[in-house]
Amino acid sequence: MLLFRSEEHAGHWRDDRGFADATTLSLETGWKLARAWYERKLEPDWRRHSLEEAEAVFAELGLTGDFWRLR
Amino acid sequence: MTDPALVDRDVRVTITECIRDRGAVPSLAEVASRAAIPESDTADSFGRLAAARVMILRPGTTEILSFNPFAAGPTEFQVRAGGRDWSALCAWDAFGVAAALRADAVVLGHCADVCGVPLEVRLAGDAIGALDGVVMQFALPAREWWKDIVFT
Repeated sequence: MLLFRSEEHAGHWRDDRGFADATTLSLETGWKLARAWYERKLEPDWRRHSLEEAEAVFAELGLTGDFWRLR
Repeated sequence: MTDPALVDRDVRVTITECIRDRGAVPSLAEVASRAAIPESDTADSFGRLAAARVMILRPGTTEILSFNPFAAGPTEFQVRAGGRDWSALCAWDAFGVAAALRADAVVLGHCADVCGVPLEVRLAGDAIGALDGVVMQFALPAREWWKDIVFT
């Protein structure tokens, strides 16, 4: 997961390297995803998301479709 | 015989304590000493935690590369948060450092395209400060992330 100056720069990188399926997120969505994923990582009772929970996190942020499918 | 699940919990919690207390991802020796667990048992636990995708080991070693989102050593993504400097393997993890610490943060990276322009993202609560148009890009579909997590 990399940062790009703009969608145009992300497109150049994607095309140059042949990552036809690559997808971009706004920083706002990326921040929400990071919080949902990692906010509890330092807590003693943390546990990894199950597949179902991870898919629910994606769905709640509107990250749906084949790219975000985990199985 | 000690339950491996209990050892793994102790090891994981000890890693988080090191990160909170020292602001750095610990070595195997530090975790073993702090948790009072033999290094061989700690190494076995590191292997199980990596297999469970709790963290990533440096290839061919039993040392932590990243207790995601916290990476050991300098990387292309630096984070200033909680009065300390942190490293992360990717943009998502860099944001994740701020999330895990529940702290405002400044993420320092660069455009991965040929321009390489430095990019700074300020995270403060729900507010985000960055150049207009900056985006995060995921190269691989989610189900392929762990096939090569370091690349991902």
